[in-house]
Amino acid sequence: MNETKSSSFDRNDGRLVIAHVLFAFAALLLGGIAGMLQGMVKGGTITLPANIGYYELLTAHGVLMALIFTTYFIVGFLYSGVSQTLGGRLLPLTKKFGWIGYWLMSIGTLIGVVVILLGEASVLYTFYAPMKASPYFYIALALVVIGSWLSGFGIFYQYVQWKKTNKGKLSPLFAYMSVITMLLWQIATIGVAAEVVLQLIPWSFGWVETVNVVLSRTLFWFFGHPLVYFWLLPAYICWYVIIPKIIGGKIFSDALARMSFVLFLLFSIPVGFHHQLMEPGISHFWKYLQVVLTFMVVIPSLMTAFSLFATFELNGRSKGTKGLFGWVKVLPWSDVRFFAPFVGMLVFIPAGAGGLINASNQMNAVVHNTLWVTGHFHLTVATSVALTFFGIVYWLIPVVTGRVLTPRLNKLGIIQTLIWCIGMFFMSGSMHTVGLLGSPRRTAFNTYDDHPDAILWMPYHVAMAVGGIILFVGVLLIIYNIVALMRAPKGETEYPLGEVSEASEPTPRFLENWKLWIALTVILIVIAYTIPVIDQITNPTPGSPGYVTW
Amino acid sequence: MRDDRSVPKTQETRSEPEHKEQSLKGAFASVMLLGAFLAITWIGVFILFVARD
Amino acid sequence: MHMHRLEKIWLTVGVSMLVVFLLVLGIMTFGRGIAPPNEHIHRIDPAKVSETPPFDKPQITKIGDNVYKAVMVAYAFGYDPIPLEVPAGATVHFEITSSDVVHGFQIPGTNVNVMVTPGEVSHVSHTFDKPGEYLIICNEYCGIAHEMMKTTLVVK
Repeated sequence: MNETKSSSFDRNDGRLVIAHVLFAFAALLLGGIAGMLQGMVKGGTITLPANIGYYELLTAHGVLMALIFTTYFIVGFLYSGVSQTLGGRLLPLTKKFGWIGYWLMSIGTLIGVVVILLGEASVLYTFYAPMKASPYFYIALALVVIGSWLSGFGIFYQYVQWKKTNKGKLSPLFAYMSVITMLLWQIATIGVAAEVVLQLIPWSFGWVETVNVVLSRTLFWFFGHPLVYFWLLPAYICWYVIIPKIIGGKIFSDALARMSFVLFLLFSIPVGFHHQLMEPGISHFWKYLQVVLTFMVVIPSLMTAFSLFATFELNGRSKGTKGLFGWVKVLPWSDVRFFAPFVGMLVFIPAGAGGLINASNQMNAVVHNTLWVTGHFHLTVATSVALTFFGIVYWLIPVVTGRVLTPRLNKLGIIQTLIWCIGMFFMSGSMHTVGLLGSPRRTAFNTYDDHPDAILWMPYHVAMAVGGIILFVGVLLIIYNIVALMRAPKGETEYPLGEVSEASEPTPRFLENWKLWIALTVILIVIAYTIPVIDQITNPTPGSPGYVTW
Repeated sequence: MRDDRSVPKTQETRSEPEHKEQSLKGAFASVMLLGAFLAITWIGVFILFVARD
Repeated sequence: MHMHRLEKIWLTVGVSMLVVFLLVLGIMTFGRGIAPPNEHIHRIDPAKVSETPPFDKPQITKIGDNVYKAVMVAYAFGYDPIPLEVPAGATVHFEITSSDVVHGFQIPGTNVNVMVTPGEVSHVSHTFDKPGEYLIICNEYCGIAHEMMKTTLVVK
């Protein structure tokens, strides 16, 4: 089922993968510069020169990190696994989709970054109306989204063709999970596409006078929550499919892994209101309903935690370890391809705990729009997901370029991971704490006229700046490692695909019943959103004109 | 339920002696610790919420 | 699809915990009225805030025994009216809208933390037992001077 090929990775496919990976890390570097500067401004260490605004930097940071770095890496990683497991080579049409998607996204990114740096779109990556950016900002984002759709179509096409030529066979796990990921993305982006195309672009061009703010936020968060699962699921693919191979073990359960992904597809989308808990215009009932659905999406992560620990334990026991935690001893701690993703897994524990708190209906009042939230997502996407992606790079680049990882680079990888941990501990730890004390997110340097509350926050802001600088060193090091990997010695590296344990249950075929799962996904969305959205359209908030407040 | 994996099956029955023989006590202990962490942090913020009125 | 006994137990424990949390939150919301803000939907034309009562005259008025209504307007980059003062022990029902972009309205150290969205009116209440000068800040990015947007409520 998992066709681990010993022949080398297709060179042309490799180019597509590398193009995405390198673009992703270029975005990370630029975004990282912005982030470090932001931290230093808040910590009171620097003042920005007159022509660079804090909020411009913040917009660039959010867009580059949360949209560009992530999407590009994910598409590249998924294409690599799809090439490897669905026939060993991407079909011509798949490649076309992949490349056209890449170029569309890149044109969009370029336009977007230029518009942001020109100061015409300091609206942050959530671009909440009625702050009105240049229409070219929204057009740029639309191009990125449309490009990503094409990338997804390539994966769907390759999958469908494989199913045709492998009738009756269960699809490879990596490919199955990739299809779920892109399906999730496809459905989720409908919300933001509707917001941008139907509301914001006409309004920012002046063809329409006003915009329905509540509706625009609802459409954004229809997208904004599943966005984080779009980031998480590829990390889960690494944890489920790649890590067992790297540790010399087996995949615990193919069926349960697929089941968890189905649950993510079902429950990641009808939950956007938990990002809108403190706002007017949405009733208690619908907020609570979507909170209940949000709690359901915790379940596949609970399943994943068990699966991963089980994988580690069975690996340990098969190598003779005893006791509750003997399996810890035989894990390859000095192998960055394991270590970095493992740290990602570990950090997901506090990350997930924070998420549960954030979604807890009225409890959200304690943390909403405070730096706690910023601390939370720097654990989830900027550590769990990012470190996993970093860990992937140490085998992915060698595999697709015909090179090998050297011991020296492996060691630099371990060091980079540790630097990241230290920086994130200071930064996110401070953010969580000062957030509970009330310090707001997305806010430049302030002491609110030296109010005692705000003075109390300052030491934490300084700690955040220190953490941010350490993290920037980490960014420089991962960039160095990537450049070095691109020039590593030539050789053969096998694509590390895990095999399923023989003790694992056979996988029930209903897990591949796409019509069923898509139908259920749509039904849940209809239940969670139809009435409130229809209400927002037919009984609308009076529309707002646009404002350029920066 | 049908399965068409190319990996040869070692058993056909529903019960999995191998699964039951395999001890997953360590995994269980680990996730219970994780669950405790979720509970403690949630309750902590809940208390803060209630205390702040 | 079979699941190992210990995994079943784990998921039962995990899901039960989630259910308990949801029940607590649900009972507080629907039974005790301790809910997310903005139960009632109350709309206003955002371009006409300064002409629409009561927001044409933002003010704090006493409506009962140590109970106050604070009608406020958020704008880039401040809040009307100023100053805000109440005696200790006062319960204040805030009613606030925005005359331009989305703002926040947060009182650090309390659970007062709402979005102020143009076109809508936000309702949130708090009882100020302890005297002091409470900081009220905007925690939703609203423009170039967002970090300066604040006011204070003095509780005597």
